[in-house]
Amino acid sequence: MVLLPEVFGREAYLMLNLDVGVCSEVVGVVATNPPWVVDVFPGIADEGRLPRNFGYRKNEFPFIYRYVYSRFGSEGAKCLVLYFILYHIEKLLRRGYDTEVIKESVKALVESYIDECRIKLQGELYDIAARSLSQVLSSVPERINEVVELVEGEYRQDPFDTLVEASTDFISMELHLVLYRKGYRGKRPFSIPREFFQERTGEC
Amino acid sequence: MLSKAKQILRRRLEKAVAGGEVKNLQAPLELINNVRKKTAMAETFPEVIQVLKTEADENPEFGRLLGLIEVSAREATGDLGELEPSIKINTAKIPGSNGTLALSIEYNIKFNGDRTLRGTIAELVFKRVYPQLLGRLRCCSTTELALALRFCGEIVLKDIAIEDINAIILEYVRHLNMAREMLGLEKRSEAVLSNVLSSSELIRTYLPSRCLLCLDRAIPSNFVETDIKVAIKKNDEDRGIGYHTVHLILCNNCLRIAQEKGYITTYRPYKVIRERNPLFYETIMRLVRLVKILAHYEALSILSKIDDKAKTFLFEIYAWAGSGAHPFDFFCVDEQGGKYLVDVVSTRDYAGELAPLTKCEKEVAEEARKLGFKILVPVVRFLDNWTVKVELIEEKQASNHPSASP
Repeated sequence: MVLLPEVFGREAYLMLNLDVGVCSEVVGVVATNPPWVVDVFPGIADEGRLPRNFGYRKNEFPFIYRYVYSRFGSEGAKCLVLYFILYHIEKLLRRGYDTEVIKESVKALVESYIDECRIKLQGELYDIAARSLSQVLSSVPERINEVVELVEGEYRQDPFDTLVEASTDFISMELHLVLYRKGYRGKRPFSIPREFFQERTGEC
Repeated sequence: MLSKAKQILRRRLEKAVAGGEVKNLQAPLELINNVRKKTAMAETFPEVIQVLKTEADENPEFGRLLGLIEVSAREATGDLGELEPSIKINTAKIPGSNGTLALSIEYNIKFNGDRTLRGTIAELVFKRVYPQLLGRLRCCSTTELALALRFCGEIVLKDIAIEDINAIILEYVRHLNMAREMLGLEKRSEAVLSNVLSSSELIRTYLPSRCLLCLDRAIPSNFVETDIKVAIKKNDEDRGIGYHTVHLILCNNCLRIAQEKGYITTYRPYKVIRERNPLFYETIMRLVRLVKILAHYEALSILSKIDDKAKTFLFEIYAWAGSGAHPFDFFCVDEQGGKYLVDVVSTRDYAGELAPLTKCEKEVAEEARKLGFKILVPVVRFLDNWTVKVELIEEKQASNHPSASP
């Protein structure tokens, strides 16, 4: 994350009546000083820290939610969700997406968090998570324009960079095609859809 | 590589704006957003290609941008030269090998290994541990299921009861010895053969590829053809005299003896004529059927636990699917008649991305749920020091499966 977490999204936290002090601490834990692996996954013998923004991906979310909830309570957990939403919005804005798509994407993000919590959290903690996530789900999309404007106002990106970032998928597709034709299959092997290959190369 | 291509694209865009080829940057951004929305709605890759083509034809601005992207990608990969292979091959001599060329391959399965390989390992892991996870379940792979449905479809659909394995083996040995007796061959020891077949699932699996009468392996030098078609003449009052064909594997020796005894014709296509040798015909047919049941016993015995509608459903899905294209990895039943379709997913760490159900699996899952199937998703996590962690999740809706986003 490029922006300082203490500043980032302050207005948004206020807008949703969250305690900025708690949110600042939560964001600090997630974005700048991540927890030790063993604190979040007690069974794993790993002496390192988790990567920054661990928990943003939906399959990681329940683990960090459980950790933040145990340290900061339900207020902290709400701050966590909002932080990830702001982070998500920033990522989408940097890639040139418009507000309409962002609104749908935020909804999908929170829904995916709820689904993951249903699978990985049990009992009371799942109920709490589902309740607070549902609250966020109902309140944020309504005010998505304001939230997007807030995030937009907090970072500056060159329009060239925005266009380049928006083209990422197309560049990636082209790169895969070129590399594939050079015989490279990668450390993480990839494949090219046959239709795309035929369309661009004329080869079968 | 991607960031290099992005830098090149940026430089090219700057040039294009300075040269007046691109008037402003907002217009191409809006075009990209339009394409994104359209391609998000496209269901298949050819549709995505079509959207891109149409957009590029209708909007020269977008076409120009695609052109710049293509050139940037080529330039970014232009000076790659020899690419680092995903598998390191070491051609150094191995000490003590007297100068003989010896190769070694260094291959990290967890990181260099492709997803298919890891997926296969994950399936084997699940097969190994599921009795510990859910002891009451009995499972077979969907590949075994498909073969059983393809080759023993009528047994499954006509709801013919599958007896205990030992009873089937005894019947098989009895019929084998009957056929051997007709050919004047020595009887096989009932006790030894029963013992071998009841203890080795592997031998049962390979029975269909052995000589039907002497159980020798099908070695080209020993077989005239590895697969001899025997046409069996039948009396069909409605359609007159006809033939139907069963696939038998017979070794040279057994074929010759059967021909000498007059059970099989000496001219091609080889035939067993029922009217001439009804007992041999019945014995052979019964033997063929028992071999099929033995080869697919595990899947058939699991299938016998479920209701007819579910059987028909599985038959429609799996019986005629191509090899290796089966939705889901395992089919399981429990003692109460509960039925499960299992999709094993794997990840390289304790919280990695998991592959979602394929489009086909989602469709099958939706239909299967209506018939009372449950969808299970075991997650195999490859951790350090050869450790795997297997978690079991029941998926209640298609959207609940761990998907790739964000």
